[in-house]
Amino acid sequence: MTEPSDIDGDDAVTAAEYALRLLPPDERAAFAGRLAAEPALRAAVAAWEERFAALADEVEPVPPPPRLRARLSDELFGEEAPSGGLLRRLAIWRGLAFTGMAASVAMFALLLQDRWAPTPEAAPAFVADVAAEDASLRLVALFDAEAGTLRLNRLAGSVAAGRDFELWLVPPEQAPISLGVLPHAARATIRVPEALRDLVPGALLAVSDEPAGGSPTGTATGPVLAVGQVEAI
Amino acid sequence: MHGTSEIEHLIGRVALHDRAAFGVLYDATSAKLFGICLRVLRDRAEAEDALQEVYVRVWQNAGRYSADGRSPMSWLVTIARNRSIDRLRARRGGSDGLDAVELLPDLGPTPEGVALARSEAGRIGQCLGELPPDRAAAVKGAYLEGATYQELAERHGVPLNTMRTWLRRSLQLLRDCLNR
Repeated sequence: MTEPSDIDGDDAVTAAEYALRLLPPDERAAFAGRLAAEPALRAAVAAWEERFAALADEVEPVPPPPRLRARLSDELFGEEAPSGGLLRRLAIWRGLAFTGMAASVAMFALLLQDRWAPTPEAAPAFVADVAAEDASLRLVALFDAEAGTLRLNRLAGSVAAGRDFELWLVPPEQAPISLGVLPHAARATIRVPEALRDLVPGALLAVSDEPAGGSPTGTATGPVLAVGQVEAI
Repeated sequence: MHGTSEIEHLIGRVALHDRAAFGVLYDATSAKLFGICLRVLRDRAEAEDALQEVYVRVWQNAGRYSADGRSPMSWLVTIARNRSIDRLRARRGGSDGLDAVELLPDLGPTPEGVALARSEAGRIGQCLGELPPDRAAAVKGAYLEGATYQELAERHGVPLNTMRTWLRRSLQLLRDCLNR
């Protein structure tokens, strides 16, 4: 996020004061009012926030007390829990130990300490990181095998005007099967047809650039921009 | 420590309300963010409350990250720093109730923009080094300790207006250096 080139020098400095929270209340309120209407000003603030964040590099990490993690999960997910106490905590962070990400030693210590463990009845879930090699396009996809839904979140990249992204399921040793054109919203949920659901775990997901409405031929006509493997969480 | 790409992946999943990813994100980043809360608030109990608010925001606002194009760690750092400052100011009775995080721009990310932001961020230390030491310290004090103009003026023994002129000039020099 770089500073927009069309920003006035005085505004750029005020944007820095705003990001630092230095502005007196009346000026701050006036500047906040302008932010709502001026995208360049918002970009300038964001650019400063990005730059200043590097100042936190010198701050030493301090592990927060483990009870904070429990308090947080109670606040965020507590009301959905079937019952209180330990059982609730078990459900809340279920699947944690199954995640593909390496769990830290500290986390395992925490798991032991709080006796958290993954629940065996957790819904089978899968994740794919569908990314271009140069990171120009990146989607995260979560597949819920029971519901047959694929939840997508586009982190980077956007479709060109008059074009569409098409999502493809590529099971091992098989031709790509279209899962349809991706909605333009960054986040979307796609229903995977029942006949295809068993094919998703272990398959590749791929995104190709297609004419508006998707490939006219049933196979990818444009370049494949991003690929990712579907893995168990 | 998890890499940038992994943190981004986790935030992407949190935006889809993936609780497991949220747990991993918390474990990977909470020590850094707690350090920031402590640095600003200098009070353990307050820092704990601030950290909780930070992760509630991360859970609720992870979707904003996707449309943002900044590096994931600096996004988290900004939330932690701003929440801590809000608490600090509320403690002193001067809260304005505004939160910069709520006003994040909705700009489509471009790969060039992201790459530039990530390399550029590291340059602030170098550019601060080009300022006189007391002025660099004032900028850092404002960011890491939430110092106000009044506090900076007292600390540096100059009138309030002088302090502001001084700091604005420093920010201008900083900007020139960063844009070079």
